[in-house]
Amino acid sequence: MRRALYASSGLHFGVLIWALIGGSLFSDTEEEPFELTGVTLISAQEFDAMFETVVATPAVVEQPSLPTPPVPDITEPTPPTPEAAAPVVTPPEATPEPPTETQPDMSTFAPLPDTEVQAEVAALPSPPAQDVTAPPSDTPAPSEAPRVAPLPAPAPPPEAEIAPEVVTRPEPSETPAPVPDTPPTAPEEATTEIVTEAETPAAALAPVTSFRPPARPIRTVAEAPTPDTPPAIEERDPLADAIAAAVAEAASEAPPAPVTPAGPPLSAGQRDGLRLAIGQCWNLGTVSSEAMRTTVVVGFSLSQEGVPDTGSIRLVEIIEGTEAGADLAFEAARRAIIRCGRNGYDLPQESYDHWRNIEAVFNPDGMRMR
Amino acid sequence: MTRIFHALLASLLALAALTVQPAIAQSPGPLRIEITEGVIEPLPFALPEFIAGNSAATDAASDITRVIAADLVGTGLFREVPRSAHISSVTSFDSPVQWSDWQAINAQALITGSVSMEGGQLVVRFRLFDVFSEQPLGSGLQFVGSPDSWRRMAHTVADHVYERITGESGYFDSRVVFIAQEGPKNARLKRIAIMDYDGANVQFLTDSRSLVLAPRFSPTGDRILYTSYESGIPRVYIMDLASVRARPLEDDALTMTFSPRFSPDGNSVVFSAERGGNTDIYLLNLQTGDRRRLTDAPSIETAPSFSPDGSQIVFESDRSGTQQLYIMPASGGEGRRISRNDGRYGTPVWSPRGDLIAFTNQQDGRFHIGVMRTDGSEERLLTSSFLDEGPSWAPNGRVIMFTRETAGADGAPAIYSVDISGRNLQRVSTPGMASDPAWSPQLQ
Repeated sequence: MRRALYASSGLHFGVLIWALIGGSLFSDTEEEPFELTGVTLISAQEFDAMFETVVATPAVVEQPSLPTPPVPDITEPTPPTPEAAAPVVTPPEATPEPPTETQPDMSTFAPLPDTEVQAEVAALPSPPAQDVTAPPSDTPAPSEAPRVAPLPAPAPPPEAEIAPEVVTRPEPSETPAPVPDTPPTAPEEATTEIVTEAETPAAALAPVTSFRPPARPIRTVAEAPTPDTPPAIEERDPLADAIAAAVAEAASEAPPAPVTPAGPPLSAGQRDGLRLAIGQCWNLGTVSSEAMRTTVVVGFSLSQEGVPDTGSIRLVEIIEGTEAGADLAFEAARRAIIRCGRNGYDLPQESYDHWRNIEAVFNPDGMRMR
Repeated sequence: MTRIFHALLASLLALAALTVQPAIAQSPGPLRIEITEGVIEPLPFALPEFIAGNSAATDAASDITRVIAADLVGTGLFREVPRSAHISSVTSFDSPVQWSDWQAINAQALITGSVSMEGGQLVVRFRLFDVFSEQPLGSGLQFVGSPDSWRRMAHTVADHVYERITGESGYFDSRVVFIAQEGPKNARLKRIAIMDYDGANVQFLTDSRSLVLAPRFSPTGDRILYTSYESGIPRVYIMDLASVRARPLEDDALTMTFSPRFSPDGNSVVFSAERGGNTDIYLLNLQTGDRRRLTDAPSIETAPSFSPDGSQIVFESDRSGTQQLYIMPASGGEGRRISRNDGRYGTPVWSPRGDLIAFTNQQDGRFHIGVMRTDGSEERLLTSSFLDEGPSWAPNGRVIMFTRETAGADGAPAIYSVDISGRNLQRVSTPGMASDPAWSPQLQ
């Protein structure tokens, strides 16, 4: 009985061992690793040509042949592999025939010249300023034509009508007809410009400045009755006296006349219009990347016609960037202000006091990556 | 207590009176506006033909004027006002400028000049004016040179004009060394050639018996490095341009070396070398011959390029599984990865200004030339085509030249240039197929 138990246990143990490790012991042999080999298909003619050439050429190739240009790769050059370094046995194919090479004439190579150009031999003086003796331009500058003639043009003579019958000219009388005395009349009114009501400046209709309220009348202090008895000496506080004196001094100084700009301030739309007008001439296409990182404040004055005073254009402040970049940024800004303001910026005349002086911040941050 | 309170109150009132008064008296300040929107467009300039001082200089005056105009217009930053639109005619170099005439045609800059032959030398003078400010931009300058160097003199004038208007140094008086190619695609013959930056004056420096690749200028422009298969394996050569003589950079003929580049001081060369199937970056001192290994990794490290101050090196490596860009100290080390976006990155080149790194990027089957900051930020892809690769910086760091190859059996390489803004993509004129451009420093 016990023997059967041992036999059964042994058989079960054996089956268990076989299940665990038997697979690897009795499995099929592993697959042999395979190797890929690149092949090239060639034609029979190419094979023949190659065979003939190999026979004809010595075993040692004198000059390394031109390998096939490397497959486009971003490495430069393609990192060599042992296969690439192996000498190429196959000589150049007979076909296609390589072009006849024109050997460079090395003797004609001109070495880099060292001092061919002498730079800045002499700084040339600036040309003379334009004066009245300068030859005039071929094209005369056009002058503005007046919109309305100062005097009315005479009325054209009435066209003569042809009478149906020929009338003989009457004989002139001996005595001239008396000329009636006509009182002298004023010439017809004329103006150099028609100013309609719509074009009348608003300043003429609206008050330019707001009237300040009248000063409060000085309150008169009733004269105190003279006391019969001398007043008692009051205990005075020196600090209070000093403060009172300071207040009185401050109050006694005549306040300077406040300078209030005439006319209404520019609206947001008018400011935007001015910004766009200057911006469309602000060309950043040629400034350096350093200038593109520079923000400058440029101040300038405008005439009443809105034309910039070129002499007033100045660099007020460098908000961001370097001095070198600021010079170029300022030049670009100045060019923009002058170029687009040649004919005057479109700004309301009545608000001239508000835009007489302008400080423009030229900030190229948004233009940098365009 | 009450007195103290009154005293304080009085003090405050006095201060208020003193401070309020000046505020009332102030005049209105200037109107302040902020301009944030401008335009980016070529600056129009007028360039009347330079005046020939004598009959011997007539042709030179015309040619120099033409080259100056081509230089400026070729940047994409300038636009020439056609001469047919000129109102004024400049009859004398010293005649006053008729500002209104040039303003009327919207010429913002005016260049006047003269050319004359004096004692067998060509003398070129020029002046530059800001038309709307009605004042000269800098002083007038005069250049003297041999008649054969008229192109360089024209480039020099254009460089000065460019510098005065843009605030950046020019790049017209410079050269480009490149690989000239000919023959069918499966049997290309390649030679190293050199030309002016605009494609003029092409001259060959090597013959086509050996495959040559990737020439690089020295910082002084008197030597070049390149890779040649003359010995059967790629090896770095150094050539003296004055004598057109080349020699291998190292005597070790069994080691493959490639992808060389000079250090900023010109005394060292950094390059890649393959040993035992592994490619790393090495530094060779040209004066002592000492060779030092800068990277030590099982991956491929190549295409090193120095920063302008010589303190760092950017290179490409596939240590992460794909080609990416890394920066390490010039003394060597692990390096930190700076390329983070999609695709493979290669052929990094540090800008002469030091602020940007140009590279080749490959993603989705297309190649791009791009730039990024040295920390990898602000990456921008400037071009896109079947194959764009191998960027090279202009001396002023504003323009990049690279190779563009067209697809197909008839595909051919050509040299292109592009502004770092991505604008003004142009093909550089070469006599035939060309690739691997390397821009020289500004000539002295």
